[in-house]
Amino acid sequence: MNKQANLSSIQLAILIMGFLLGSTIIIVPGSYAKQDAWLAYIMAWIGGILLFSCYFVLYKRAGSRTLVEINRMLLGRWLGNLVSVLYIWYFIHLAALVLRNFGEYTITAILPSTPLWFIMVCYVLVTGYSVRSGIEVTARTAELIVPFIFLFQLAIFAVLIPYYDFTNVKPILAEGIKPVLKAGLSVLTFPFGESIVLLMFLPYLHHSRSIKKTYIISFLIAGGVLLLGIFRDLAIMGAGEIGRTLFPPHYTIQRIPGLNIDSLLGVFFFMSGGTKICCCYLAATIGLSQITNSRDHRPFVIPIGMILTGLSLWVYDSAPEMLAWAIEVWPYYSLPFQIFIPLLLLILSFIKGKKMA
Amino acid sequence: MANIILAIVCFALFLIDFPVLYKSQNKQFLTAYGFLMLLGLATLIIAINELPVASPAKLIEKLIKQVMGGSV
Repeated sequence: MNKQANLSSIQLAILIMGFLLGSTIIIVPGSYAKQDAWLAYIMAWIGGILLFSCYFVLYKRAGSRTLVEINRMLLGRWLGNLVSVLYIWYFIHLAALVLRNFGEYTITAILPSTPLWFIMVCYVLVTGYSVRSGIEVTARTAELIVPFIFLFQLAIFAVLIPYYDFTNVKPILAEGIKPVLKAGLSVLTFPFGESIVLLMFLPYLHHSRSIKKTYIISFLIAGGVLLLGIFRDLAIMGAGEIGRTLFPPHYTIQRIPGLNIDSLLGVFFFMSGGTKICCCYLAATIGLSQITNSRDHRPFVIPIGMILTGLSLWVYDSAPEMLAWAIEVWPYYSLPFQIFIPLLLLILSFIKGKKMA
Repeated sequence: MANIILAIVCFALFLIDFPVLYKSQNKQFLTAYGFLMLLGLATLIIAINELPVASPAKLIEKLIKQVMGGSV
């Protein structure tokens, strides 16, 4: 894709916030820690900021290049391209998982009689159109819709305050620190560490000096909203009920007396999930165009869309399997992509030192 | 019937990209495009016909269990 495409700081911030909120609006990844899930969120939030600092230093040292270009520069042509292909697979897989979350939520909570494949195809058509139009269109769409998600989340948190049962978040650390650490890793890798995808977009920012400030502000806001969300769910439903339900926020919102707005949560999930899928989808197509030395990312939109649709239908047999995989397997699967390889690249960038410049 | 519809849809989608592919001299790009189209078609066929092929998620889970010594 043409690197002259310009993103403003606000557009990048909104894109980051939409990406981080993504499917976390309806799924609670830290539920393993039970009533201490909020502690796991705080730990992951801090870990996420540290992780992004590594990504940012790597990006700055590599002279404002995308992840694919960084791989090629630091690892050489063949190994660099191999690692880039693995990353492209990871982006496609992540997009397929979010797409499946979206489909399962739709058929469970909103449209139970609609076939899953139809929902997936409709969603891929919309996100594919956005990706084909380029990063600016995706960012502008996010700019238009993501602020409403924040207002909605804050409003729900405030409206439910009279119904909070604070005994649900006690006792603190009753089962020790181990479950909190495990849940913290789960939250760190989903959604905070997934921000590795954004390394594909940072070179498109208009003023590259403002990246650090933009990222930290958006990260704090998105993390804060997620923390409020988990605290709200815990205080309303309790850890036991959260563990028994697939989409806890959906049931929390139903507790608001005299107001039926659970379908509105679905609408906001479609928007934030759409932003996340667009980011992953776009990162995969941009990565492919760079690997193949092609100027345009658009011809890859249709093949990747076909893979996304097929993979999202094929990847799990059921919604509980999807949730179990996201909580138990995803953190370990993500470790190389989110932590090990970026750290290795960072070390290599320091070893190569001035040669890189 | 579903497979025939899938084939028609895929061909129609391919026609959208055909002008770009026809003009392109970049072999890497053409190879990658062809490979991804075939991969997309294969995943769609597996998903539509519900063929008994282990999904990537299951293979990854198995691999991680082996690496972690079954502690996941």
